[in-house]
Amino acid sequence: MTDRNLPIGEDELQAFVDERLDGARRAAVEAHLAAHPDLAERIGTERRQRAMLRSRLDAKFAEPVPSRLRIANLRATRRASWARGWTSAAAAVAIFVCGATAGWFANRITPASAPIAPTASVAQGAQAAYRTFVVEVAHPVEVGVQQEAHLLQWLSKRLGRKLAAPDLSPFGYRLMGGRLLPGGSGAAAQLMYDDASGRRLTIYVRAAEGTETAFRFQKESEASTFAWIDQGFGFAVTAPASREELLPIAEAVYRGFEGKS
Amino acid sequence: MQDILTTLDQLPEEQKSLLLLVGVEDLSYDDAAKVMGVPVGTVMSRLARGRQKLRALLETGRTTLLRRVK
Repeated sequence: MTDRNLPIGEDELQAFVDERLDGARRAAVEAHLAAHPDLAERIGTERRQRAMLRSRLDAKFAEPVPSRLRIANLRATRRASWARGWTSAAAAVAIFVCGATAGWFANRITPASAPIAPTASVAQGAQAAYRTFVVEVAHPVEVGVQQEAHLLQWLSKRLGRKLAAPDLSPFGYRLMGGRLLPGGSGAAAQLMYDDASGRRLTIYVRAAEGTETAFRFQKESEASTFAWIDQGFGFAVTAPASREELLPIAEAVYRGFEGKS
Repeated sequence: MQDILTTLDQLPEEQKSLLLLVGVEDLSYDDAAKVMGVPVGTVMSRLARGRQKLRALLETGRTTLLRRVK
């Protein structure tokens, strides 16, 4: 095949990464890569990274996301206004995906205007984390419930406290997974639960000074939080629920953690 | 651990859009060129540069966000 003798250019390598070459040219590129291990490694990495992007965004679109972000609707937008619409739609996806994380860090560096009580600080941290991650569709949790044992072991190690996931099934909530976050001067753990209707509840734990155990209630827009401190750790339960609905859940979580440090 | 989506967000807008349009959304190079209003050659070189940059960022870890604070 004469095709095999044509030089391999960067455009062709990109088409190879995108799996768009036909049989003859693909074979030529593969032969070229076999003879050039450094290049083969680079192209292999680019292929893997392309696959990672696809799988991350595929997973995202497999979730019940708001309709304005669904691919079908993005395509409709593209038909409506071909040139600008589609480019900015792609950008919007990237911004939506990455914005949540950026928002979280922006939140953390906002200086507190005055010293605040430890429970208030825990409640604020919990609410900031709730606001940031409860709206996440692509990766609301860093480690999913399928790896619950690993998740709890990991978070326990990072927190310096044995962490169990309280059973909230009596309230209709089941564990989705959890993540590690910056919290106070160390790490914080967030466990996320959801119920059949998709409502999400989080339990937030981090090291905190103080021995007080009184519940502190705080409501911010939709989300209510009960926070308390017990034996050097702050706990908070946050959900879009009324004080009356949330209190028994907070009490169950409190009992679940009590004396297990 | 680097998050690829967070890292992607650090690329210049035109490279980021192309990596999504071509790499994820499977737009043809010609269509991507039309959408971006540039020649196909520019699409190809931006794609190559974007992928090179993404790879470099992920490899060197310069973009590490403090996800795990100690």
